[in-house]
Amino acid sequence: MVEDERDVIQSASGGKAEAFGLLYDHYVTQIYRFILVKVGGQREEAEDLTHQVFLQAWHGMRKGRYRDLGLPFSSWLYQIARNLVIDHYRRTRPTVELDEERHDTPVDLGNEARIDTKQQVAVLLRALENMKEAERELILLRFVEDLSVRETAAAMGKTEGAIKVMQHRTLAKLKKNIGDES
Amino acid sequence: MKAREYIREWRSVEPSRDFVEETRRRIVGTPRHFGMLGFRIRESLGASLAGALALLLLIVGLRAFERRESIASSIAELATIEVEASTVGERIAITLDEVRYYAETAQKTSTALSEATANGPAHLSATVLKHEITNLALPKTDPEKIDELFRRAAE
Repeated sequence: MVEDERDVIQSASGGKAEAFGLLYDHYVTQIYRFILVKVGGQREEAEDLTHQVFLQAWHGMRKGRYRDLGLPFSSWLYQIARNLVIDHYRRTRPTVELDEERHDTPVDLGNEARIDTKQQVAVLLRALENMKEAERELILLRFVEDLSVRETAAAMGKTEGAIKVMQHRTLAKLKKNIGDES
Repeated sequence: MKAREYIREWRSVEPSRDFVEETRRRIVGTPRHFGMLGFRIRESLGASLAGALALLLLIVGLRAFERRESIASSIAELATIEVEASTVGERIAITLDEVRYYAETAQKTSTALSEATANGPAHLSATVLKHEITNLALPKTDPEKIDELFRRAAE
């Protein structure tokens, strides 16, 4: 978490670009990873959508759209990311449901990623593709980004109880898809 | 491989640096601070200024040390110049006294000449000269007494 995040958020809401830059530095990687899974490991799409997320967040903060309800700032960013991905698929593939989306193109993580990382991420993405959109999000937020139940619930727009019920079932499903019998 | 290992590997995935920098520049318009360094640097601005001041003083001190000998010789030269100046000052004072003396003398001479001109040649009259001679008449002396005095002095 950003040091004195509340002060930084307040400064950014007041239009201070430097403060928003700190929030960007802190959250850009996890938002990028979240989107990368949603677009099936396509780097360029993920970068484009990540850019849009922070652009929209910056404009929203300056217009007073961010309300501090005691939830982590990341929850707001994830909500923006989710909506942008949904809009993106509605524009590009209007007849395909998000849960039914399948990517035939190979995973593209860029030249900086190691080969074994690419292979393992490809396995994980294939396993996630066989799961529902909400299940993918839960895996990412709860287990990849280590968000708390409360934070995950806020980001996904669900109750904490629903997240608790979902998480065990979803993790078991992921293990089965990967071939992990433990 | 277990699911948690895949998840751990997934955490190593990061966006490219070029993308992160470019997006930051396009959205925020400023270069990236690494972590929270931006705030910390600002907080330590006072310390940085103090350090810069100390460095400046150090440089000035070193330059002064290098020039110490030349400064000492300069001081000696200054002392010499001071003595010379003092001498010149005394000469000027003496000259001024002379000037003052000549000015006063000229004034008195001028006054005397003016009075003489105003009184006319009365002082050249025979009566006046006779009177002056009378006043200036020295008492008569005995030559024998003078000889006696020389003799005693010679003894």
